[in-house]
Amino acid sequence: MGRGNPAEAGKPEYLFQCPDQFFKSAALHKEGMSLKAIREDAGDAKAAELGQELAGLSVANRDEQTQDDAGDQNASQSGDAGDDSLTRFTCNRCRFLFQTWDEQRAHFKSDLHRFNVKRRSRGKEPISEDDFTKVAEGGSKGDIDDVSSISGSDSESDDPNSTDGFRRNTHKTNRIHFVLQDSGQSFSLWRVLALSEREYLQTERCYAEEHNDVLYVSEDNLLLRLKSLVPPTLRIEDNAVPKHIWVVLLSAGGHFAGVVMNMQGGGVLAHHTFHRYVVRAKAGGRQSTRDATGRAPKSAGASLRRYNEMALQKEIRDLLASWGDYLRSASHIFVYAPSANGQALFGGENAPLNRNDLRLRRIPFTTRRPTFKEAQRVFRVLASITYEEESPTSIETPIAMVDGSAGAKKEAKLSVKKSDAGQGSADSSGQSTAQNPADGAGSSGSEVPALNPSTPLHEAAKSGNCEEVLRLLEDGMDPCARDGRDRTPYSLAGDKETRNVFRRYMARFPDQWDWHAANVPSALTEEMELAQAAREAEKKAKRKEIEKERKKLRKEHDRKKEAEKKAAELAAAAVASVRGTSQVKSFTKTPAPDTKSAAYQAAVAKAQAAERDARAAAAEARMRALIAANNATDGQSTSTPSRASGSSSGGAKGCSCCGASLVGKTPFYKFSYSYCSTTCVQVHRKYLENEGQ
Amino acid sequence: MATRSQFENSSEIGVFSKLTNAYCLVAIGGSENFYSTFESELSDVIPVVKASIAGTRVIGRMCVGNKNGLLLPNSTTDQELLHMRNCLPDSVVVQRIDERLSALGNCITCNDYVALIHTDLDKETEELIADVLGVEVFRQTIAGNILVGSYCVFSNRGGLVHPHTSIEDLDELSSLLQVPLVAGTVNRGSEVVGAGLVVNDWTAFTGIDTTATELSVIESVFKLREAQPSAIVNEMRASLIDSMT
Repeated sequence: MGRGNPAEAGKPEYLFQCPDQFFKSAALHKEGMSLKAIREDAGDAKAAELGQELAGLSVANRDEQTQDDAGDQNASQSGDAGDDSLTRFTCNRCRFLFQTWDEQRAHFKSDLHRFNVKRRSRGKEPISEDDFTKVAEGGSKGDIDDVSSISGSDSESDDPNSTDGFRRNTHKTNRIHFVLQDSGQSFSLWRVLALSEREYLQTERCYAEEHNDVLYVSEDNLLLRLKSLVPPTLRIEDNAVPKHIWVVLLSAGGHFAGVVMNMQGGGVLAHHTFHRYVVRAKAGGRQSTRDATGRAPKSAGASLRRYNEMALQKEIRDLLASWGDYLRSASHIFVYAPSANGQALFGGENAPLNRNDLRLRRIPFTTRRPTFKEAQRVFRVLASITYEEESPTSIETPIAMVDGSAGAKKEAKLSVKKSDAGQGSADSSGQSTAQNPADGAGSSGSEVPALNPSTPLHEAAKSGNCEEVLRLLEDGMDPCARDGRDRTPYSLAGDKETRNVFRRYMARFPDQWDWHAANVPSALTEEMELAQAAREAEKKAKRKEIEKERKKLRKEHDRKKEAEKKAAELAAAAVASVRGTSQVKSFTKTPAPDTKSAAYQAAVAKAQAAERDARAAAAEARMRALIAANNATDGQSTSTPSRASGSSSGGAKGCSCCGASLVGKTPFYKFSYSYCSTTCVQVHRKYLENEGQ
Repeated sequence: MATRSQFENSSEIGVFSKLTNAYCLVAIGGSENFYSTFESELSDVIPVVKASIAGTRVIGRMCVGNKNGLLLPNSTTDQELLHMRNCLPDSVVVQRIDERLSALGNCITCNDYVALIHTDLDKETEELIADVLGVEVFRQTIAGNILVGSYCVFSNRGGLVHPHTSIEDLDELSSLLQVPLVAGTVNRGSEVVGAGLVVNDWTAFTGIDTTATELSVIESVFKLREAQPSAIVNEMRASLIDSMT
């Protein structure tokens, strides 16, 4: 990381390399200023291809057209895929044209292409081959990270906000931009260096109502803090504990890393790392989390992890206790300890750190496994100063060129850049190397927030703040502005209400902006809204009606069921009462029904009739049996079936085969016979067959 | 031909399945309908394997593969890896890779010869892709999106990309990939074509919401109308018989 003597170059890369009084003339970079510059920059970058893309878009969107297109391509490709004269071998990202397919393929695998694609995805202009070699050389001399980030996936700030709970605060950014008034150099620092989580700039809006204890910091105060970041160079030889100390504590997944860094020179004062086996292999999660679910496993591994968790906590506490002096005098304490990991640092009675400590800061980017190396990297990233490429004087240039043609703009922009670079190398070799790493740092993504040209309108739309959106639109903020990922504010709006604000505004001022370019699909007029409301009301009324109907039906059904049930009960009671009167006695368990009621009388009559029928049938059966018995004694010796068949001729309710009663059964019929079961049917059939022979 | 299908009421079937020329993976779902759609179309040609990756059902977004190999994210468990090794043909190399970006299906898209990958993938991953899948690897974006796997689907015969892809980019991509490409949508206008469509050289499956127009675009660009696994045999037979007489 070390680079010659950076203080001499005039642009120190890290805070601890800054000379005393470096920030003396610093002032806050005003938002409007930086935004404008950035927007112009991005607009410039995009302008060249916007024309082409717009032309392409309208065609590419339509299916038939593209189908035709495919047809053409099919024809051309199926004829001869290899050397098609119609195919142009291009790279639109890097704006190259190639003669052959092999050249194109080679280019697509090159580092330059990869680098440009990455730049493009951050909304930046592609760079030429020459610039690229310069960047790569500068990087390889000084900072390996720069080049490795081109090919690898080690961009440390993929989503710096992901763990931050403050997404909705539209104006809050991860970095604060400053300008050095004497040199005109603008640069940015991490927000956490100057402000703690609860502190806001006076110019910032804080929407987090739940945080009552928000502190507002004035600009002067902020600049004072900025100046105090750079340690005075005088007392380097002090034997006592140095006054300017940063502490970085990382704790995750059983790993812990802590370093105490001296801001006077950036040296390590103390460091320690621990690792204990606490995370359940494969299943993931800590043992204590698993135990908290209720069923604590009793395995050897589980108890090992439980023990290790305790031990790790104790080790960390002991370490922090021994670092007491450092922790007391540190100006910043950066902590990454998600969820349960914070227990060792903040939990319990004699916790080594207090959550309300204003020196306590979050690490605003993704960190990797806590190791000594990683802690050092975190420190370096935090302490790095990111310079913006253009100084305020060169900001003016692109603005002046807005109405020039796209091509000319690009040329001019390039020349500006080149002259900048040329100037740098003419000044001193040291400066050019200091500038290139800044380029490289941009590529590795550490300054994404700085160059992301997202407007307040984008932010307001994203956070769903309707009043803010309306206010900004009324203030003349451009809804067609695109952010770093080529999205308009409308497309960022998360909910319907916010989108409606845009559409309503469009209805009011249909000609103010090119609403098509702003991706706003259609205007929303008063009448439309009224009609919509009416439709909604109608729908609601209909739904209510249906619901009512359904309720009514259900009620009727219930009533019917109730009546049926009552009738059944009555019938049962009547039967019981009839039996009770005819037989000797019967105590029914059912409560005595109202014997006077007409329904009860009817039921009783019905039950009596049924009882009568049953008795008659039984008497008849007895008679028949008697007759059959007489017949049998008359000398016609036959087997049982004959008896049954005899009985069947009487048309009685008995099985024609076995003679069993069929009362209460569904009989099987054959010819004039009826049977109790299929076996009887078969037996009787056999019998009849035999008889026939 | 392209077949419409859905997975438990979701038409993003590309999320729950992976189709290549040598095998097909489907998610373990609640009902057999989804599986049997694939089974009925493919079972006599390539194996249709029920699988999960890292315990999830979003297998189409987690893995990437072609007829030569299958790459799985490092969150895949040993059992799952073993299961896939057992079920897939021996010629298919199944490999688990250590890559920070675990949704390989979103970050990588490939046919049997070329692959487009996310710009942030590791160099080692890139080499592994080239080795295991036997493809040429290009880092590219589709219409400004870095998730090439989500916004682009292509087979050896054609491809469908994000609807906002410009004509220039289309030309560039198709010259790079050597297949004809079309910008289009699936699932009634969804631009996430990777999630709505799985395709190989002779068949495609799309979400149930796909309109007839979209389907016809898909069939024509992937050349599915004339394509059947038997077509090539017929062709060959014709020429063989021709040469014998």
